[in-house]
Amino acid sequence: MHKSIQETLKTGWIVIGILAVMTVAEFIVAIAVDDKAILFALLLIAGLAKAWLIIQYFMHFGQLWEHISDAWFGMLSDDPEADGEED
Amino acid sequence: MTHEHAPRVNHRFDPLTINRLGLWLFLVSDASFFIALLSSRFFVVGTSTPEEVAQVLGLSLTILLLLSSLTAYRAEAAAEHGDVHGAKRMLLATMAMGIIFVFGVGFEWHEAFKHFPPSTAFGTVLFTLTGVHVTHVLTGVLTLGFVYFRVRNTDSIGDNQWAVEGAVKWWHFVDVAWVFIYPTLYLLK
Amino acid sequence: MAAFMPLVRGAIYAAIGFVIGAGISLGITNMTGEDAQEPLIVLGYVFAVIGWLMGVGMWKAWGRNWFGKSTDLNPSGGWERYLRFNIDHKVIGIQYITSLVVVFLLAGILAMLMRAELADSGQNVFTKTTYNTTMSLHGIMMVAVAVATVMGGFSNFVLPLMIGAEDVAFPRINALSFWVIPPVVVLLLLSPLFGGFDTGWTAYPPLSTQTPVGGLLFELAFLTFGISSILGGMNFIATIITQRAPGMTWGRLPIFVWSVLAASIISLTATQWVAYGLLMIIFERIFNMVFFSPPGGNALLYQHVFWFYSHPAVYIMILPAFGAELEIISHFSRKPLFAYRWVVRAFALIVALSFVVWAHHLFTSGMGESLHGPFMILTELISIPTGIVFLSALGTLWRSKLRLKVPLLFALGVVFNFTIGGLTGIFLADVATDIALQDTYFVVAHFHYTIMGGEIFAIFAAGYYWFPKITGRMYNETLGRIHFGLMFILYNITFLAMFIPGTVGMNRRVAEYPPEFESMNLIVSIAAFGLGLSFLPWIYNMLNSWIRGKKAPDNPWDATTLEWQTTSPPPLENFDEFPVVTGDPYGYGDETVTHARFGKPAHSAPAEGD
Repeated sequence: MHKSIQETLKTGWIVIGILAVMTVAEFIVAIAVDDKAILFALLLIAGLAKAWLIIQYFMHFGQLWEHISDAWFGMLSDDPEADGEED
Repeated sequence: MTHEHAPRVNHRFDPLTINRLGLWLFLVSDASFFIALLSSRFFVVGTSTPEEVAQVLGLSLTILLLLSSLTAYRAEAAAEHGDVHGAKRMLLATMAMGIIFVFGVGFEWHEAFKHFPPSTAFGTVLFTLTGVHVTHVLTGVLTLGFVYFRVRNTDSIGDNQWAVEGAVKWWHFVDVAWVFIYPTLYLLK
Repeated sequence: MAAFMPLVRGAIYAAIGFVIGAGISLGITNMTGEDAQEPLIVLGYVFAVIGWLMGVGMWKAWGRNWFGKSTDLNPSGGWERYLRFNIDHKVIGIQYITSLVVVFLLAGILAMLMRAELADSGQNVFTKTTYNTTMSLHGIMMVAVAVATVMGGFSNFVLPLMIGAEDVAFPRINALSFWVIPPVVVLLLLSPLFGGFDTGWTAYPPLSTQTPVGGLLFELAFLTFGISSILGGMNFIATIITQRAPGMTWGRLPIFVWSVLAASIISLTATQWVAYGLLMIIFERIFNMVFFSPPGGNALLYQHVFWFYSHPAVYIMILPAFGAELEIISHFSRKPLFAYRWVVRAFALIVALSFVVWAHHLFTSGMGESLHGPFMILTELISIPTGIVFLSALGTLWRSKLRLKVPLLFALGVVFNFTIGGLTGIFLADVATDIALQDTYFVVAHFHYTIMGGEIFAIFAAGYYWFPKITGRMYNETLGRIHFGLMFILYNITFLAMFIPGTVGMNRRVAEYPPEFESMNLIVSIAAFGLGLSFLPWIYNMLNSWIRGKKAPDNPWDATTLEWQTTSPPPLENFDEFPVVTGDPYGYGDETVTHARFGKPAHSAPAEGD
């Protein structure tokens, strides 16, 4: 299940590549676009996209959910068997 | 960490998951602080940005912080695969970039004082946003430093797995905060 | 004497920390040529708090771990375990409750002094500034009591027991969240010596940026208190998600646990806003920044940021109070909680709405008028989920055979008082009436009806209810009834009478007032002194019963929830036999429902966070 280290590192390079391109793009857009509102919207979208990339791929947010969801939904149901009493 | 005294109930959550959940909750909390911080920019100076803002410096600092996220990511990956040497090297690289970032902000402040000191509207916003963020960066460097010395002293990842992961997650969070602070401070018109 | 060593060490380390911080600050201000005093206090204080924490035992229990050294947690011991950094949630709960009771009594004495000043229209006790400092101190200290007594005190003690856990998810963070409270109290008590602060607990700029150093101490204290609140909220959410006993599904959580979860979500996210508000004030004081003054700055910014926390904060206070109230009503009516699922939904709705109503505090502030309508409607919407909570209480009481013990009396008091608090709130949510009533004693009376009549009564209900579990002894029922009777009647006289000067326009936050309000104020003052005296039987009862009371059985109320299924007081790891939850928490009148059965300890790996 564990990814190999090469694969992990490759993901890192791809993500940082996209982030770098987007940052430069932001910079250029800020020079090119004159309308305040449009610029704000574009930068907001870019910021959210970059944040999502970091949160998902660098901080492994999905991993947290994977570990919790199982027990979470077990807890949601009222069926004691679904929660799996230990011993 | 364990209680020395406690035989535990059989919970379905391992310590690592609990630690992750706790850190994520704290990040949610801190994120709401940054939202408050960013919103004050719009309240005080609207979206306008003075021309004297050091654009090139801002862009370089951003790229630098993003790159440090890559090394932090690699430190975590190395730790996960038990590569002590690689983890140490990447932690060091991350810290180094963090320190350069702090000096970069210091230089930026030096410049900013000439055009917009803290007693002007834009200065208020700039010094507060960068100041709060750079404090986070310093805590990140400090945390990474603690983790580095722990890994070095024991010369193994073993018990330090969560320490590495937690410090790295914190570092990425500081990066995410900057992802929003950078356009808010430098790029808006 | 050895028992006091951690406290002494904490004080010494704090002094050392202050000197270090102050030295660094002096070095910097020498270079920049700024005014040295306030930066020195801020930096000195930050280091002093770190020194204090390390001194009281955080270094031994936690700090060594950062350097990869072994730690000594040792939560057991005699009474001296209450005087140091201790990770046992039951110890922390008692630490919280006892220290906040002291704060409560101090702030109560301040209220008595204020009523002495206000008994007639002239000047008796205070000058105008010292009156306002007293009023502000009373405010912030009572807010601290209201926020932390249920959330920090009672939920720390009973919540892990209720969900069948051995401790919270992060015991050391839990201890940290208590040990930052003493510096808060010290700073607040010091502030009158440094000129005090006459801003009220709301600290509106520009006044708060111009107060003497006492104001700065207050802002630092408030910030520190926020840290405690945030860490507590985080800990409870993580605990409720991860530390439940097997079988404790979402649908089987006692309602008190739900209410703490709801309040934790608010304290986790909203508290950061007030932290930022206070930080802006401190920045404006120290670095001459212009958040609130021209050019560019705007004092409204603070009011928005402040109320974005402080309105949700009243739900941090009242939600766990509702939880405790419903819990007690169900157990003492011997009936399942009426509309359990709807109450949970109501809590969720209150959390969501609490974030979008803040600007109703700003109707008279000059905020854009287009915002008045939406905020009025959103605020009034909150009465829907609150109404559901009330209907649940009434539905549970309906045709039940009540066991009229002291906890239930106080819980019924909550229902009565909060009804008045809620109904008078409508006049303040409504823009047209609020413009006349804003900043009058009507607001004061309304606020005390919701928070004192609602939450403080619920705190006493919870206090009597869990007293046998916490101390292992029974309180004196007769004295408890006397306390309730006196407090309930005198409280209602005090604050009902206070509505009247408010409706005819008497301002709050004044030491002197026009003589035509004198007669009503005299009644309020006399009733208030009686209200103050009504706490004496309670103090005597608590102290005497804790020392000499008769031993409490494990389950004096025949209640179903888990905290009553263990010994009184519970052992270090809470349960000798581990609970497995098999049914609803309120299975009264249905013999097929058992909340939990107990089995032998399971052997397994530790499951606790860092």
